[in-house]
Amino acid sequence: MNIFSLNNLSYKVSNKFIIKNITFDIKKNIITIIKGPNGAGKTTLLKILFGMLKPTSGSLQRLFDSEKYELSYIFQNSVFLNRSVEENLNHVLFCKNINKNKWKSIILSVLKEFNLDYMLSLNLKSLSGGELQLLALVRGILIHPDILFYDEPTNNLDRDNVETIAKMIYKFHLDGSSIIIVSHDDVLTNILKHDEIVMKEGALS
Amino acid sequence: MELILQSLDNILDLNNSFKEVVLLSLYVSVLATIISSIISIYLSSYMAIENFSGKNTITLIFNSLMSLPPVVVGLILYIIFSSSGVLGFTDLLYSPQIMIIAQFIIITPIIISLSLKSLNDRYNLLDDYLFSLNASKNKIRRTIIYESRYDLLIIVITGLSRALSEVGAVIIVGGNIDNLTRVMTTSIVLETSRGELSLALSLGISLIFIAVIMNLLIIFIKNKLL
Repeated sequence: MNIFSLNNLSYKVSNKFIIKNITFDIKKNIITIIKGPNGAGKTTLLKILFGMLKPTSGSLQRLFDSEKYELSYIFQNSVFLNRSVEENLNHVLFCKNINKNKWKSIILSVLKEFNLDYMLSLNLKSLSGGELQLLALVRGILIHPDILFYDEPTNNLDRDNVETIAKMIYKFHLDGSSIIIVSHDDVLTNILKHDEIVMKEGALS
Repeated sequence: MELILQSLDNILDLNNSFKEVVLLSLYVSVLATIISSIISIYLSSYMAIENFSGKNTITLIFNSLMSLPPVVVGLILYIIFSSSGVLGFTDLLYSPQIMIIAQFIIITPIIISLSLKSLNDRYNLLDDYLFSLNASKNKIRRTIIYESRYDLLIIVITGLSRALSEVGAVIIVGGNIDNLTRVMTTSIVLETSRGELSLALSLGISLIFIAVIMNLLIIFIKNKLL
């Protein structure tokens, strides 16, 4: 069963094609990794799939109930609020209209699942780059999205952190979520069992 | 030197009329700043996240109004609220209320323009993240206001400083009436013209003292921000 179906989809900015006539499907409950060199149009494609950008031509079918499906997007360079770790996580639940009484238990259950509950008492400014990436992932999966869009999860991370992120992604995927990742990290792609879409200069290669 | 000592003596004496002038100054300016801040920050947060035709023109107008001459504001309000003016029936001329209105008009463009810049910057930074959460407009506004809280506090203090140091408009619409509309700045003008330099100086020192407290507050907030 597919969740996305793309047919001759293109996206251009000022007459320059960023994505050119691509056609493929993305399956449900599968980890899909979009690979390719820098400037291949991977992030643009991920943003189009999420709905942040609209394709210039071609068709994009979302084969799921948009009203019921929860989507989450984790950015390559995640921006955090000028607040504590806990308040950053609270903010997601605030925006998602989750009852305030449930915030603490939701956050603790996700953090404990990945042995990250120590973070809750830390100041955001004291977190390392790797910990911030982990926090971005926790923030992304806090609401248990049906589809997780993840842009370059392992940018500038050492091998240990890449493995940690990969394990977290896989564990989360086992709960039944579909995950679409943009990455050119071979370590990550070797660890995760996945479907692959390879792009080059805006087209499938 | 004797003049300075005498003015310090006046301050320490804290006689009733001196206290009244200082308290009225604070009452008028603080109230004008609170009303202006609530309206300006809400309006700026709306303008920061919405795209509508004329947005750039409105921004340009508010930016230009930042340098609105207070005496012109005073003059226009005088014409409107004088007995033959369109709002003459309100009987507000020469009252603290009209002074609050005058200061509100003077500081609102300042608070709106500076808040808009700060909220715009914050929104541009968080735009994608908030979009990814599918956050409602109301929640986006609340988020960017909260995230800009230190900047906004500094802007509000700037507005209050501007209101406290204003003299041109309040002297025209307030009339500098003893025990009714006399504030620190108008009192300084009067006492100087009467040759009561020590009294004028004591009010000036009090005004500077308040300004120093404001600046210390700004430094404290900036340090917290960094």
